[in-house]
Amino acid sequence: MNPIAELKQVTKAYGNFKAVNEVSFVLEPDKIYGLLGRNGAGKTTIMHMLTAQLFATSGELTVFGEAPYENNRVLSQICFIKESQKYPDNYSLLDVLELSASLFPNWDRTYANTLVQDFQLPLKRKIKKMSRGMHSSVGIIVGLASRAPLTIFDEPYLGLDAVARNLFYGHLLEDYAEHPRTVVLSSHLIDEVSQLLEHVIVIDKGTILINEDAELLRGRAFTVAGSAAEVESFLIGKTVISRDPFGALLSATVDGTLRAEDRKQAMAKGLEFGSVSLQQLIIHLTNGKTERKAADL
Amino acid sequence: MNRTLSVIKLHQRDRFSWIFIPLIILGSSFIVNWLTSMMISEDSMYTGGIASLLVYIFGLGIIVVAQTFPFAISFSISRINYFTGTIVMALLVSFGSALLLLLMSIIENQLTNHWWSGLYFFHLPYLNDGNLLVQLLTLFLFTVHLFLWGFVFGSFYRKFKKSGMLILFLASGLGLTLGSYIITQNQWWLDIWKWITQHTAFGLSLWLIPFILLNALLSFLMLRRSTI
Amino acid sequence: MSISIDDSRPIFMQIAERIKDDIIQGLLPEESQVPSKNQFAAFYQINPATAAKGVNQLVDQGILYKKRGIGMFVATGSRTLLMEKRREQFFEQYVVTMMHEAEKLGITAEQLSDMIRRGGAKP
Repeated sequence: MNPIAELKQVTKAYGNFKAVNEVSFVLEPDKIYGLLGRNGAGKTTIMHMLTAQLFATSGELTVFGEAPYENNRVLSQICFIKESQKYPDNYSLLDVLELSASLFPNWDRTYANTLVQDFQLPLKRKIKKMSRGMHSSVGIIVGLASRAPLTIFDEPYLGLDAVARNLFYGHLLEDYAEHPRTVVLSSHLIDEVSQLLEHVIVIDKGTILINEDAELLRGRAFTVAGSAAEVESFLIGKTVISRDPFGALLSATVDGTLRAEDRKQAMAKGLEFGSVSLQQLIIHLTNGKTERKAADL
Repeated sequence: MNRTLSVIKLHQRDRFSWIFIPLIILGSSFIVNWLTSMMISEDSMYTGGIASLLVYIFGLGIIVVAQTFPFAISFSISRINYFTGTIVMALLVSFGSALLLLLMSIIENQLTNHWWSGLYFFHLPYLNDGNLLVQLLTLFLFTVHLFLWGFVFGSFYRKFKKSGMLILFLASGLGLTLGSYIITQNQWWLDIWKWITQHTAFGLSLWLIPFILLNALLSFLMLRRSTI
Repeated sequence: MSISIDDSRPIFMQIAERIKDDIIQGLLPEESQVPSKNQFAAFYQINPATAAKGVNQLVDQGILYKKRGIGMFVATGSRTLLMEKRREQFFEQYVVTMMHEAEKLGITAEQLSDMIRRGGAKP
């Protein structure tokens, strides 16, 4: 299958600072991707380059097999919902919906109206005068109703309450099931979206840290805790992601799966094991990176 | 083509900026001038009130880029579609406003005897010389020119941001000072004034065409490489 | 985010386990239809591809089977099969662990069997 988007060694530099540094990845059709990482890691820059709103300093980037810059064949198939999208001062939700209807070939008016009702948004109020949460909902409605073959949500849930967030996830899954398309959810709050994801790309300091099937990441690591000496001897020969000493105790996160045999033996020595969620794994990996580098020296 | 129409629609939905505000500005300027003309005892009163509209159009040209360019490109609109659609919108609105000004000048001059108070607001000597078509074209070209003049500034800001704007202002300040110094040194002011008065308003407006085209080209080149 | 999906283990395994649980408890009788991957996805708010993976794993194991164009069904005999497997696991999972803990606490085998009897008497 032809990829939806492909980045090869893409770099975006501002002077000496590389916001995105030789990033390569592929987006496959009809998957929900998570583009995860801390604020300022380079997620938004990558999405802006995908949509030709920023230009890459070097590298090759294609979307639907072509360069996206000034390319309506590509652009008309993308809907990019930005975290703090600015709308013209006098624009109401109705204006945004009417414009979207003429821009996105797959736009579904009926669905858009359903969403407006579900999110309980006023059609005629100026967006400028809406709350943060309502503002986010406007983006969500456009993103969902556009049914664009590549739909990108950048931190879509900011300011949304739990009810509205669940409404979003529910609608996204339901509509995605009926109209499969490639969705990219960018987020620094990983727990929020992790269950929805089929594939995870983690960006840290402008480079790709993880590019993996979400299911392979769940349960990829485990924690072990106990007396420092016992834990240290257990850790020999294993890939340690992080170490958290606590008095005479030590808790460590280990990359890899634990064999039942090893577990039994270790438990006999008084070690305890825990599981690591996707969020914890990514936090450990992004925090621990510098630590590990220092340790390698 | 389709997506250029979408850009026109994008602007059209903001009726406030493109239609209501200029009408309010023009209307209130007219009312103030009219009331003044009723109160003073002179036979006739000349005013440059319609300049308020033209100044607004200039401002609109600047603001429209900041208000809609980043929005448009994040809604998957290409830069060329944005440029073309915005220019078409500006031409339409300029034509509409020229038509309105002409209509008002006819009402002023021929139907209401200058609003029964001797007010010269829409029908100005020099500006309204020549036949109706010539007048319409003159008004149209002036409006378009002012919009594009603003638009080129707006695009410049979009492309080069604050630091670029500062350099532009410093450079143009320097240029103007230098230019007027040279003109003064060579005593060209009188010649320039003569040149202007030799031409009719229509003749002058035709001279705007190359500037209009130049500004359009410059703003296109800048927007073409602008980012969010 | 929703009904107790654990994000530290592969979700498809959890879906498979839940279906197996439901079969053992009789909530999904043999030859009855299993919810579709999209229904699972909507209910647990998980990715449909992940849900499908869980269901397909059970198809591979012969616990579910596919009727073309209709959906997934519980295979005849799968309940017995699952119960047998669970019984095997029961020893490893509960008895061994229990003995281990009892040893730590100094509970004798006598006391332990007494406890089991009392536990069984509870409604």
